[in-house]
Amino acid sequence: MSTMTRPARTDRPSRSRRFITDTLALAGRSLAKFRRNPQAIVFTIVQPVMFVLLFRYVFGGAIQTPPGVDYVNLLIPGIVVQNALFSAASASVAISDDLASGFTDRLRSLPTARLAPLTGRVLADTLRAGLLVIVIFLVGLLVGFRPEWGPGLLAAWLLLMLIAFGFAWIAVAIGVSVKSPEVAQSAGFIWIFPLTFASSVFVPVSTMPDWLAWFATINPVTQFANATRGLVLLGEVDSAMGWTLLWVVIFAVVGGFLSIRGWNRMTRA
Amino acid sequence: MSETAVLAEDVDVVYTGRQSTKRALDGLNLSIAPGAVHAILGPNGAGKTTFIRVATTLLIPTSGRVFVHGLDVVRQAGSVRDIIGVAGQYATVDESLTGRENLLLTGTLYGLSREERAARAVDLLERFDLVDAADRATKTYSGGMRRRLDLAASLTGDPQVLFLDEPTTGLDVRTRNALWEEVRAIADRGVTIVLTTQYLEEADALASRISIIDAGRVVVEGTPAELKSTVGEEILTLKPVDNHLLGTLAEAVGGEIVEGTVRARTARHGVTSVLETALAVGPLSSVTTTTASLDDVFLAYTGHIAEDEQPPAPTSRWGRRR
Repeated sequence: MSTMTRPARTDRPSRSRRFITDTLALAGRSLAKFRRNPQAIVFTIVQPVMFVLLFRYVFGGAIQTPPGVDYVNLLIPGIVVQNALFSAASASVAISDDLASGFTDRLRSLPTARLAPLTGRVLADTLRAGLLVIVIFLVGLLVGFRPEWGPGLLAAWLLLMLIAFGFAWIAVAIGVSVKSPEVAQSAGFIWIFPLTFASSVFVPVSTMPDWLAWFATINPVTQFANATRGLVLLGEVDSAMGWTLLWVVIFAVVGGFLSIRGWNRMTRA
Repeated sequence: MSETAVLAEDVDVVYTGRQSTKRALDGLNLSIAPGAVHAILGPNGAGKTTFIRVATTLLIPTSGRVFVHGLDVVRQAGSVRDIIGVAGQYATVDESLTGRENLLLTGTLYGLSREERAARAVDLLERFDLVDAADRATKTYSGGMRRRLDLAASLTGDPQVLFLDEPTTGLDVRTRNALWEEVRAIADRGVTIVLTTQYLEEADALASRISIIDAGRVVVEGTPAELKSTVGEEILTLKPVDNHLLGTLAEAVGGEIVEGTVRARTARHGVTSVLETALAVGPLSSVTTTTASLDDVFLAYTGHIAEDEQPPAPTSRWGRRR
């Protein structure tokens, strides 16, 4: 029995190594949590499928598309963008839940790499968005979606995960700044609806009144949808790609900054 | 010089809200010896949880310093986290992971290698009698099993100092007694244990030293026996026939008013003189004498009775828990 201070452990992996290990471990935990919650899986998949069916068969016939373009081909690349955002937005609730349950306190009292709880969450939600995109893509094929088969599809998939990554940082920033999971639930999702509907995701921007068309044009979601369509339908890099990448960087940097600031402030009284 | 396990020097914590500020710790001083089981006893809102949050690097104090084995909890927070374990009032395990997975995750975060953390998990599951439930999701666990898993997780890093924040709050008596046995077993391995509680019985049963804190500062400290002797050996509970005389009576005998009676402390040979003084004030309807307990110590130093009811959710930064 020894009560003396033991010598510092010298066999510790380096800081960057631990950051990676801890990020992966915590991302794995988040994904396991999702995998073992059948309800969450069903709702995550049912909602986009409903959107696909609703817009393909109910509204789709009434929506004007450019001549020779099938609506379903515009719809699916739009809906995957919407769902990449939804998937990323769930980070705010998850972060808030962990704060409320005391799990975050435990993580912070362990020699966990400081930011790994945040990066682990972002990684998990990015990968989850990637999976969801594949599911919607397959459902799209069933309802008549015909992409341009080629490397553009892989590029679009990576782009969608990049978009989810940027948005996940905004969601994490919301998660660390709100006071309860309930608030996170509404604050985390409410802004996605105007952003995705006032965009080119479901309808051509040219059919909107001028003021809305103006907003829809500068709306990052329009850029995301158009960049995705370029890759998926034509196998080409659309002019929207530049804006898309710029927005992703802005979201990641601003969201990341606010997340880290909020995280570090938690130790203050 | 023998090193202190936990040393707190003039610690202030002031929470600044929009409308008000709250002084949670107010010049707290504390010194805990290695290998001790040290109880921090105090009513709700006394600052127990705040102190644990400071000592476990979760909260930076407004002023003052806290050291764990000589390491500053603010400046050397990373090194402090290597040598401490924390188990809270709420079992902070992940509900969707199994018991084993929770321990493996904690092991990873402590920087243990794959083999080390697997071995440690097996060892802890055995020690805490969780082998049968090891591969079940923890949401199926009973309250007592969760606490045991939480305690096991707090030991994953082989800590030198273990902080237990109200470890038995909300547990039934049988589960509580079992947990006490676990705590004693951990202490027997030489781990310093810092335990907050609002149960006097718990402090008496487990602690080698007790600090009573109230309003953010330590009001008295000592072994359970020392504390009991400081308040006198005998307690007289006096009930005057005329309730209006309670105040006068309390003043005359130097006691406190508790639930329509006056409690006075005295050395054993002083009982008769207290009674004489009391009877000079007015007739009494009842008199009982008891030997001092920690309850009386608590009352003497904090001015109120120790609370026995369930506490409200503790104050975290978020102000609420589920």
